[in-house]
Amino acid sequence: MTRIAPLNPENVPAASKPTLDAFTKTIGFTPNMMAAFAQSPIAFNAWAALLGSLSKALDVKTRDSIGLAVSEVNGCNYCLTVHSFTAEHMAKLPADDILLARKGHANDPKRDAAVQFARKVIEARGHVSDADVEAVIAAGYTHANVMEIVALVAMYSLTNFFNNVFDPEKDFPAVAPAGSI
Amino acid sequence: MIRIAVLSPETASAAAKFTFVVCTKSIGFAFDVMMACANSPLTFNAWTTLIGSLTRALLTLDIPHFA
Repeated sequence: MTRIAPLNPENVPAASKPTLDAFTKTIGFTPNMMAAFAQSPIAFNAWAALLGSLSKALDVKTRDSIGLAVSEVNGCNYCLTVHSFTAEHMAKLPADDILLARKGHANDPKRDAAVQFARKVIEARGHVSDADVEAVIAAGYTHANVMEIVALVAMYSLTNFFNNVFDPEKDFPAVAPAGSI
Repeated sequence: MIRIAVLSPETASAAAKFTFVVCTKSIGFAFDVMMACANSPLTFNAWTTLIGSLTRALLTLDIPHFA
């Protein structure tokens, strides 16, 4: 059961309105998660700024694959619907790559190393081994890229936790729930 | 084992330098996590912006104490 009511447009705090309007324009509708998150302009705008900054990290296929891997581990079914949708329509990931990403893998060898590493970071809460770091570096990522992967894991975890706590009503196409694939 | 080089304002890239200098000034010294994080200006700037944004969180809870 959802624990938070999405805001009606007239109740959106003024400080959240420009950010919410920008998302609505980009996505084509106002997702329930954002209409709920907008109740705190501080948290909402902080997250939106982080999302904007990290949208320059790596590439869209790798970012979305990391979002899927992290959301699967964190058991966030709302985020799995969002990332499956964006992975298909924006990142243009084939269906089998979307499922692979949820399992912490990718068909592309370099992306596979990044997604595997991201999954280890969230599963181990950052306590990865030297070999894990060496493996992602050996795949062609720099130390700066590894930091970006860690930052992406944290950013996706933020929305995972938000949606796990408030459980907004799902408004993206349904997907298999976490732990079922 | 240290897994990453720590940078200083002198060795940090131009994109990380400004944030580095501001953080060092406000804290009084450059600490290791900051010097390591500066390896990725993108991550460093995103993280410090997030901290800056959330410093305003829960401020309203302090109001009753001063009322």
